[in-house]
Amino acid sequence: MSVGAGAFVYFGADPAGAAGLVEAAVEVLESGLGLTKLSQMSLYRMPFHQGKWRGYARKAVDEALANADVAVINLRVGSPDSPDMVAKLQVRSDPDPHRAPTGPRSIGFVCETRAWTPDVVVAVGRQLLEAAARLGSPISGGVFRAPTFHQGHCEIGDTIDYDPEAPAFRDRMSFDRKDYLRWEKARRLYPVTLLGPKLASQVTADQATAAGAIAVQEINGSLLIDAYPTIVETWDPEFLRATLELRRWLWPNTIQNPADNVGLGFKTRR
Amino acid sequence: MEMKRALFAALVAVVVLFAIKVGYADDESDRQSLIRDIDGMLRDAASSLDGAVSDSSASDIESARSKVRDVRSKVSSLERVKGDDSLANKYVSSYPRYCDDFDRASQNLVQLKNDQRSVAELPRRCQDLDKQLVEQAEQFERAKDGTRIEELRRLALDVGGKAEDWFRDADRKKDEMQRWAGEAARFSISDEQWSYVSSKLQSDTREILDAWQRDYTQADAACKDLRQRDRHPVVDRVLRNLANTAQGKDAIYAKLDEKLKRIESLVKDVVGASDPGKMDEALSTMSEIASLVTEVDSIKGTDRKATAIAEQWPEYVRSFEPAARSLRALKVSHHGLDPADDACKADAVALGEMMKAALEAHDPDGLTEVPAKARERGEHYRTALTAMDQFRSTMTGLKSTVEAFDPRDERWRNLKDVLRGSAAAIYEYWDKQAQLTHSECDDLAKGDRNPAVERFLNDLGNTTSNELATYQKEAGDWEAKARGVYILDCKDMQELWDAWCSVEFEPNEEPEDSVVEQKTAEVIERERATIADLIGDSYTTLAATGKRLQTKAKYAAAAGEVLKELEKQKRRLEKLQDKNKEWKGTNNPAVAFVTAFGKQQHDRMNGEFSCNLYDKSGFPGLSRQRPDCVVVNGKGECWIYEFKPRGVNGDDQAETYRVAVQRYYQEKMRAEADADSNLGGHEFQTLVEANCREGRDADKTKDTLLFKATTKPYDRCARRYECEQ
Repeated sequence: MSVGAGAFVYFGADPAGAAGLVEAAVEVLESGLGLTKLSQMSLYRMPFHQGKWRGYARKAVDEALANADVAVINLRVGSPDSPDMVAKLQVRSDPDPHRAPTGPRSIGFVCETRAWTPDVVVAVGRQLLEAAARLGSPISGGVFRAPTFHQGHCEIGDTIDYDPEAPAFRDRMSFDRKDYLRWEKARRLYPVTLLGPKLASQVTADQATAAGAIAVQEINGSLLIDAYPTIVETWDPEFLRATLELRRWLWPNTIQNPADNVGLGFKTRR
Repeated sequence: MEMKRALFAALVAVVVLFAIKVGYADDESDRQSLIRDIDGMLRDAASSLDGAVSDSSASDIESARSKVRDVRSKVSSLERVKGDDSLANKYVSSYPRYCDDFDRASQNLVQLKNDQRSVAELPRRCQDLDKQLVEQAEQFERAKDGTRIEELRRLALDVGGKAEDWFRDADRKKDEMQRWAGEAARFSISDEQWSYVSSKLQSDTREILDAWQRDYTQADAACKDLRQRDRHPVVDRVLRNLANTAQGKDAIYAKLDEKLKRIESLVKDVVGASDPGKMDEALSTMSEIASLVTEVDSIKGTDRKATAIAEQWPEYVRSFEPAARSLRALKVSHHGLDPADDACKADAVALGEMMKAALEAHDPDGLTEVPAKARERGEHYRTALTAMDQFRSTMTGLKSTVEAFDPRDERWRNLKDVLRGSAAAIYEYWDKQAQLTHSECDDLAKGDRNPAVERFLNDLGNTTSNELATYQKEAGDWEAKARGVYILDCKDMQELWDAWCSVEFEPNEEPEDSVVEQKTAEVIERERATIADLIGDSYTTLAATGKRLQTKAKYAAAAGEVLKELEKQKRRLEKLQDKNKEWKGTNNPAVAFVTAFGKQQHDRMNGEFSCNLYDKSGFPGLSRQRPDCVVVNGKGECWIYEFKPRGVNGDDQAETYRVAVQRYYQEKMRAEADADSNLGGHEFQTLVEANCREGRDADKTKDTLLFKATTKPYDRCARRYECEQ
């Protein structure tokens, strides 16, 4: 069955401004997922130029990163119609106030788990989160699983074509997209969740452990929380049951998507 | 009177003859006396040398040397009275050299004699130490105290080290003794009394060296066990016995842990070290761990922990080596790029000063000299940057090798982590330097395409060259006409559409299929007349002007560039005319076709999605860019669509439009104003505010709008391109 899995991180400042961050993220993807020249990349140059898909080359990525006009680096493995992996690295914001992004810059990827086992995806996702914490200024992030590649694609925000999905998923994603919420809060508890320094300063690792976290790692002021031993969908009944206290603990620091309120009983807004 | 004079002369003659006779008699006597003295002295010298090996000092040898020096003095006296005496002449001619040779040879004999007993005490010293060590070892053995293993090992290492030092000195002395003996034995003269001297000197040399050698052999035997340090037979036996005790095993485990920690510390510190020496020490310490693991193996018995170590650790030790060597190699390159960015900065400054000087002086030679310098530096840095970029794969490979070190034992986890940490730190530093190097060197690497150089050429060209500017304009017009060859009419479009859509293409790639090529060739054929004129008289005139300008130093480079471009365009046109090949990039008729056909597709998509605003420019921040479609489909369904051929990525562009469009209508809403008439006016602003607000009950002067954006794909060949009537 086609299943998606991946990871994303939101950043409080342009990733290109953090020395070594984007390079580390690309290195994680290249070494972890085995990007080759058969993989593809395309660049989005500010203000409006969408580059063509072409063969992936690390040198081209490095050049793009050094180019102040490049806002987005897109990576892809597999065919255009049915990719095995897509990654979006939003490295810079448009400085024009009319075009300045309304949401935070992010780096994320989603994989087709027929191409890479979930263990590999989790390992790569964890390395991405660790690199973000070590080198960047993350707001939040997570390693996730989705029942389809397309839903995973939506999860990292590389597409908002929600039309093919069921209403429950569309509602969940539409709420997630509220830009002003994403600047401040974590989206939700994921099997592996990253809280950036600002959110991490609101809580403690001991609290996370007391609420049932399997492991909590402090990295450069961020907290990397292992919430569940395997990656499952965040609406998986067993995940919701096992992480009840952890979700309750984290809730004030999330965007409080009503879809994640299962079993918690908090008052929510739509 | 005559008589007196004759008598006087006879008297003088008698006196002279007498005097001569007496002189001959004295030389002969002196000569014989001196020869006797010399022979006697040489006999005495030989006698002094006799039995030197038994003497307590070198004084007899020195005495012999003194006598031979006196011989030298006597030979000098002999020279004055030697006359025709053959023996005396032989002494005078040969003995000074014999004396000198003896002096040198006997000096070596003195050295031999002085050091004859230099290792005589060594056997006893080693025996004493050995006795103490054995007594101590056996005392520990009797006590069966496994905690003393390290103490005994250290003791054995200490005393063994001392014995080794002594023996190293003895070996050095051995070399010296053999060298001195060789030098002394070279003295060999069989002439008269010298044969005795030679014989005695040689026998002394042999006997003294033999005596020293006997002491050395005894010392070798006496020190042999000690020099094996903790492999001393008795120590080795006792260490094994002690190791077999539980305490003994614990002591070995503690030692293993201590050494692992030491390696961890070295690996961690290598990042901040100035050279990779710490990794050499880490490898050396790991070999000590290997020895300890061998020891554990020999005493493991049925002990589970010992068995586990004996079975698993050899693999960890083995796999450490490639990881450590890779980290060492990473360290070697750690700071390799440090000077690179400064070098580029300095060259950029130098180039900048060169350009500044040329501009200030309005020096037309700058038009050639600066690009030449820029090209020379560009070539240098292109090569260097390429090498640097290629080296990245080596660095990542080394880092991967370090990361492949993955022992399963918990006690090795820290080492694994610090190895990875150090490799990552070194690589990241290198990588950062590589980025920095790129940022400082990339423009230089562009050679005369360096933006600063291009600006300079433009600036300098403007001030120096009207003639050139005119020529450049004419050439530009020619080039525009040449490019115009590729602009298509509607019939071309339709034919290309049919060709293009008859084959499969990868999205957004250049159409290169042979069917399209063939159709392209046909289109080009129709342009043959235009091409003939362009590459005929027009080109000839322009080329002649260019070549004339090229002869002027100040226009040479710029005119050369224009000629190069003209030549390039001419070659392209010739290729079109002759072979219909190499029809690429922006010159490709198929690309022009795609643009025109895309417009038709967009119009069709507009109809399909009922866009409220289609292809409208004027949104602040978007300049002349136009979102393909802005549409409100109902509550919360406010969209910006970007129409693209299927498979072409347009989401990032759509997102840029979304931000600008959303911001525009939001600002209008908050200002309680209508949208501009070309962007929907009052009617569309009202529609947006009714459907796109986040907080529908909130004060609209503070509320936010939420638009969404996506790419809407179309199939390239769903409809045939139609010519407009």
